[in-house]
Amino acid sequence: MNDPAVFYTVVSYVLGIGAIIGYGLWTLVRCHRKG
Amino acid sequence: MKNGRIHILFALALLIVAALFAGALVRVVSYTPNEVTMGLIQRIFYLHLPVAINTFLACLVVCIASIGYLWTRRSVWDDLASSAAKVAVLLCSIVLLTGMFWARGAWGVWWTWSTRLTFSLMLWLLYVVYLIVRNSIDSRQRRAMIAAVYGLIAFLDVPLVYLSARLIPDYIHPPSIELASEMKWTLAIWFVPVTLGTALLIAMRFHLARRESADRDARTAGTAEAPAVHPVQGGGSPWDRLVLSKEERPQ
Repeated sequence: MNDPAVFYTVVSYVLGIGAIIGYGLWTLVRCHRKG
Repeated sequence: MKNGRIHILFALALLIVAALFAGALVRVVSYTPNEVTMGLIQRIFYLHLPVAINTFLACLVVCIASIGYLWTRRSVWDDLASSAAKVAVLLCSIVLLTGMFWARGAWGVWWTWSTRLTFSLMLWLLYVVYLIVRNSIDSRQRRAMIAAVYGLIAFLDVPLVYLSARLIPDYIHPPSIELASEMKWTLAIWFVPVTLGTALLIAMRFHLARRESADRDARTAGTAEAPAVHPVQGGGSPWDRLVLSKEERPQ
């Protein structure tokens, strides 16, 4: 992780995939709460 | 189909998308060579491009749903447009952030006001404003009508983003990158989870929007029991406070 290229690449993938899956999970929780 | 079963289907689909993302990550890390000039940082491209294309597709759904609403005046189209707009803002945020990380790693700058980057930022702003406009209008029919006209006009920025790098020279954002055969396969593989994820997010948001519309209709008619919304501290997430109208937010 000392190489900035590795850091930026890892952060990009974590952010991108995390946002898509995280938003999906949050929406699923809201659907579930609606009953 | 009962809502419980639909939610289980959504959960299963989300698990499959997560597994596909994991597989695509293995492909990027283990089976894809570094690009000659940029090196390792170019691997951001396999996430960046599919998310950008899916941003355009989500904007296209907003546009088509807006036309559908203007044509039929049915709330189902309005719900579809608002669902796709929320997903478009999320995806466009990912495109901008991953693009900034890529530019910083490859060219040493976070941002330049080149044509494509400016039009991309404009696209993000247009759809954020779309959600804010929706949020600020209480009358449902008025909100749907204004949002439909706005959604139609906002889509005009999409071809500008796509064509700008091809028509106007840009030293930061190349119109295309030469890829080896393994790189092309990796890119093709990445389109699968990103496109399925986008479709799933729009479907889930649409399902939620229809439920909320049904609750509102029932409340307006005065025939329903209290809507089945569970209390959430502080009126939902910051994201909900930004994108949902007052009546849509969890109490």
